[in-house]
Amino acid sequence: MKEFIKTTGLFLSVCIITVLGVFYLADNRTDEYYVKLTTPKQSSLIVGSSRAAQGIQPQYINLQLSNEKIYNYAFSRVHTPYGKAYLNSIKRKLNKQSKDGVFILEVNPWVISSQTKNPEDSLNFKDNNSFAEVVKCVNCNPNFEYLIYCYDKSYRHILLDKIKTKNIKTNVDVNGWCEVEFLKNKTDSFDKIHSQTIKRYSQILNKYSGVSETRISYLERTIKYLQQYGTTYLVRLPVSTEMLEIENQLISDFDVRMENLSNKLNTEYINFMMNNEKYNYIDSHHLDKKSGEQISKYIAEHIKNN
Amino acid sequence: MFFNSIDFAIFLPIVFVLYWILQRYPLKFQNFLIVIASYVFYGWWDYRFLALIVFSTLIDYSIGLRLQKTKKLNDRKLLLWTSILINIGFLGFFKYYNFFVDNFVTAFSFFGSEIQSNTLNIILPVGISFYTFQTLSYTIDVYREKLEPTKDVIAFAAFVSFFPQLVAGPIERATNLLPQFYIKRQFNYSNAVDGLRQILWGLFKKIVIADNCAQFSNLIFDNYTDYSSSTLMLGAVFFAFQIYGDFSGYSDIAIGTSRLFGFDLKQNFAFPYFSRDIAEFWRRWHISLSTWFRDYVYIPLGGSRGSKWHQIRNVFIIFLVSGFWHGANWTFIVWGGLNALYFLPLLIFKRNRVNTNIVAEESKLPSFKEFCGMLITFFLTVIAWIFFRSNSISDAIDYIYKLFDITIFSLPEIRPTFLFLLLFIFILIEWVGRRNLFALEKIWLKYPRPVRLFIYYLIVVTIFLYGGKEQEFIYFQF
Repeated sequence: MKEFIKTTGLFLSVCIITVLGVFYLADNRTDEYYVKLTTPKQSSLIVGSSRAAQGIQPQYINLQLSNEKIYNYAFSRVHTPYGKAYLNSIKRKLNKQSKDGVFILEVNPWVISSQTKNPEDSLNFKDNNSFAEVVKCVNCNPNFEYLIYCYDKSYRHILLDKIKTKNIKTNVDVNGWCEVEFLKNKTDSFDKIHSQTIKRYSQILNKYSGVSETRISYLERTIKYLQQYGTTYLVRLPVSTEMLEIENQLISDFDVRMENLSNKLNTEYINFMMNNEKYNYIDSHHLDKKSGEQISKYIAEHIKNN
Repeated sequence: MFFNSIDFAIFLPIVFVLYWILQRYPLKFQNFLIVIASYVFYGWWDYRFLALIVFSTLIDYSIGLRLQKTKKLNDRKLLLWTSILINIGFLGFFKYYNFFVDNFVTAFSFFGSEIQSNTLNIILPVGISFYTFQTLSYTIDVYREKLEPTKDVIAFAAFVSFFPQLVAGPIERATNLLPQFYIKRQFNYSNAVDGLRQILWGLFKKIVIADNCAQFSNLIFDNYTDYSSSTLMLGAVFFAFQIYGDFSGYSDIAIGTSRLFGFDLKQNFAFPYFSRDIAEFWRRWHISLSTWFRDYVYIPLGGSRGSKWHQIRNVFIIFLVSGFWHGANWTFIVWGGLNALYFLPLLIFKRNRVNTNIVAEESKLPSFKEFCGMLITFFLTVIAWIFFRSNSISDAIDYIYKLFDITIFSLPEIRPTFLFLLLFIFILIEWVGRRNLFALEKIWLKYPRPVRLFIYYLIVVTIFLYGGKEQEFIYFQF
């Protein structure tokens, strides 16, 4: 028995060391989310969906911020719509010692809607099981919680160099900005990607049951919570006209709702949708690098003037 | 609790150490620990359904004791049928209630009458099909006087709920497993190491083979209208490996875990994809279920005795019931029926017991005839699996229809090179180890211990680095 435990223990120790070794290699190229859950707590945050994650570039906003630097803590429509899970995750990520932070909350119809049959059925919200809820330590490096329970690829991808899908390469910057680069020789034409995205989102639309008052109340609670630590801004990023049409089908009075909310909570609502044709998109709803830069500079200027 | 979860990785060593510490105390302490551990294991999923297991245990324990005291045939029959009706009643309610209601409503609407459907939102208790059959085997064997009823309620509770095989088998016979709870278990080093080796191979099958295949088979089956024939064929082949890796992997982990505790469970899979005909396939696939149906349904129906028509009827009954056991959906019934059709020519021409030995037993490679037999059998099972995997019969027929067009000769749109390589290595190891109870049992024993340990280490690293996205064990839903 002793011999069995000794040999098995030794063997398992070597295996565990190997596993830990691989986990220690996880970095900003492991996936689009991991590194954001390993950096220190932050005083200023950009929150929202993948549109904000890759559209709002903190380096341009930071040029205008005197003290604290803003960090892009936005993830995706699926993992971090406004709700209990994301609010808790934001609370965990926030450095509560600072009181003059800047908080940009990106909003769009998807992140205040629900895929449950009853849009108020918060017990069955999908994000209840996402890393936003599961990962309790959002500044641990390496983040074992994320790697063990939430990482949804094979661990060999940690060893492979880049986050690469068929057409795109992704890199998460130190400030949380998710840079997406098209591999030119493999890239389909914009028109093809655009039509595929529109087709996909038309299908996704059918899975949504509509606006969720529960999610809106969580957005409200998120704003109120962050206002205790600084100034908040609501931002709607632009999307292509076809995507806008889909979003209007999901929530037709989205802008009215956001304006009411901004008035109620005394926070500014910056709506870029008015000039949506001025910008370029990589897939109809994510801004390309150049347009992201323009918008980030505009937001920065706006913050400075206020 | 899943075998491939962190929870189980913590649970198992704790129970293992406690169990062998209790070795110095009377046997009932070890059995009691197994009962508690098994209830924790099951309750981890949903503690409310523990009541069902406890109820089933107490009913069959009491009926067993009553059967011993009752001599009148009619009274004995009554007791037996009480047990069958209660056990099958639970199974029927939780698993088949909605199926029967839906089909009843459909049948009535077909004849022009609309009736109100009263389906319920029923959660299927994990493993109910497995432990129900296990407890039934006890009562039937006691009724047939093949087995002495137990007076030890703890041993019986441990037999019913034994955690390694509680939720997805193998379905153990009371005649094999129950007596093992009466004897003091002694720790045996080589047995335990064998157990670990089998667990390792089970994890490889589940995490590397099944979970990776699942990723691609799910993608292809869920979007089958978008793909070429060759891709659809690949999707069906991936599913064949997924279900084999998933289910036989679970069985390996279950048998290996049992060995760590000094128990010997029956082999559940004997390299079925190396079968040369369908009859051989069914002697090698899910052996514990096939033999259960053989002993408790097929033989009482007359088995292979009687006229040809009787034999054919019995074969169809057994395959259809087996299909229905898998789930409350017509797809499973058609899957069973299709396998019966495959079996039929072998039965009619008395060829169903031709291949009873191990393929290429004395040589390294199969003969051309054996190879062709294996290939055809595999192809037939792959086609049948399409029914098993599809959401509806019309989907399955459509899938099969799309399989046979000119694009079968084109390159599949999905070509995961790493998975092809892993499957090749997997088939190779299984082929080399086909004469054993599981592939890893003996194949590297001739090498010195450090070399063996290094090979096992490589397998662990492969599981870790090449494991697919975690999927629930398919057979949990049965």
